[in-house]
Amino acid sequence: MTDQTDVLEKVRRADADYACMAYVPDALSESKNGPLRGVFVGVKDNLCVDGMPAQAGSRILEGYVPPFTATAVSRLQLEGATVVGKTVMDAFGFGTFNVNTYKIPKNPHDVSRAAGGSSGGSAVLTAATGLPCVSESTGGSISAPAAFCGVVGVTPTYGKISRYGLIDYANSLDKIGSMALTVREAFGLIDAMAGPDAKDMTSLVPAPKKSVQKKAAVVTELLEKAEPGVRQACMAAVEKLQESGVAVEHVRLEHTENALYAYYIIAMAEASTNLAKYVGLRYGQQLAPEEFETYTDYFTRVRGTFGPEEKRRILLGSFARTAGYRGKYYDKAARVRTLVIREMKSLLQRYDVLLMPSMPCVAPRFSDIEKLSPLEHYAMDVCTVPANLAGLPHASVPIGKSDGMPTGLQIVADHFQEDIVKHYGQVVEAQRK
Amino acid sequence: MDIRKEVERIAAAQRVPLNDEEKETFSRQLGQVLAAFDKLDQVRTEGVPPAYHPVDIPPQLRKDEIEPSSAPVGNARRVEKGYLKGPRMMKTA
Repeated sequence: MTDQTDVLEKVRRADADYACMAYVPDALSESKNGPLRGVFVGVKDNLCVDGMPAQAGSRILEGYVPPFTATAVSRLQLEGATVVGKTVMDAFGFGTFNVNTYKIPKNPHDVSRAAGGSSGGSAVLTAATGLPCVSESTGGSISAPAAFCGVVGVTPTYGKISRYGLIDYANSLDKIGSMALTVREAFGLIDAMAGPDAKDMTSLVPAPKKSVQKKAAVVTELLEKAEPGVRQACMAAVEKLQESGVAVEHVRLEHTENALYAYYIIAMAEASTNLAKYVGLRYGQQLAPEEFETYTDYFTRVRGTFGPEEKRRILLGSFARTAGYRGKYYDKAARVRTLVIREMKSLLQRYDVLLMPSMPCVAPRFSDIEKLSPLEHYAMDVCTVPANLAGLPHASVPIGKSDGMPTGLQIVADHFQEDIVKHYGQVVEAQRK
Repeated sequence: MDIRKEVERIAAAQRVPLNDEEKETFSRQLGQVLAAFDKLDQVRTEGVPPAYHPVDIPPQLRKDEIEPSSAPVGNARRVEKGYLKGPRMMKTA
């Protein structure tokens, strides 16, 4: 019981200092016996946990309390883990800096800077308390905050972990992953959550494992896009990999910028259909129906609760799949996605992993984020989008600081080769110590 | 293309209320974003199949059977006899 009281106190203190929690229970539930007994985890607020509010960072879901638990989280609980609460996030995952929401987390390394998004609360909780978290990435929502806050963030292959119980952003892109202080701990959560689930038809049986060939490739375009301090930290980490016996070459990815646009078209198109279900009748925002003349009036008033980024993505996503524009935008993006997947998988036949900065910059100041246009905001995802669009497993591993702020190296492997990502992550981690 | 008209049309279809300032801001921003998306026109994709998922998803079907569940109305505030109570579909005469 003392353990539980201490843990809750740590979580509350982190929330008071850095605004990282969407919900903290009054007391922790009793954990089951199992290999994860004594492991306390934060859970991103877009994952359902029975009895805990789930708002996914959006006002439209205010008051929603799920009557069930996401498969990924229930698997951890069955192994003995205890959920310490829900961590804040950009609304529905729509953001790179975790500023598109009602509660904005602060970076524990400098509170004038963003935590990164959309899993900002998870990264902050891990950085501030050492507790691991269950997170989720659509286009970089694990790597970005992990790099900005100096923790390990793992995004597995699409389909490795069931999405049942996830409040979805974009169904063909969403992946549940983890954050922790160490590579081993972060992958421990992935292993415990993985495996097919009858409740999610996109959860898959893993492909056979490959062995490590000690060959890696640095993606030149993405390295060049990084600011000097981040680039230097990445190259220092790569040099240490070479010293450990890994043959490193530099490669070009033709479709990095195309991947960014294809990603945003697909993600927004899927998001705009997913957000159509928020009509204010079954959960979240609910008004008095008798006060409205028609269903349309009611529906429109409820959907006025959406924030600016939610509205922007509904408009853009709906436009991209409208008759007359679907071929030009959505279908084109889906074909470009094929080219991105082919290009990356082709390289991963020759190399164990592709290496790149997790983010092109360190965590920006809130005052600088305010000056960014939506397009400039989206462009910050250039390093994280290719692997996410292709559904490839990857990890952001801390590699030192630039301008006093943490930076991360992103390690990407072929589908279902999480063990190879883990291997390289541990090598990078060991050389930093 | 008149972006502002498109914004108003889609917002109305999606039941997203916008004030004049939002219409102005979103029209300008959507114009910028769509101009960037237009760069994909230069990518040659003839004969390239679309990828709707990043990995092959084998087709799976479950039995079409009704299972008891309280979830559909579990969070609803206005329920009568197991049904959700919503607003009128249209104005009464």
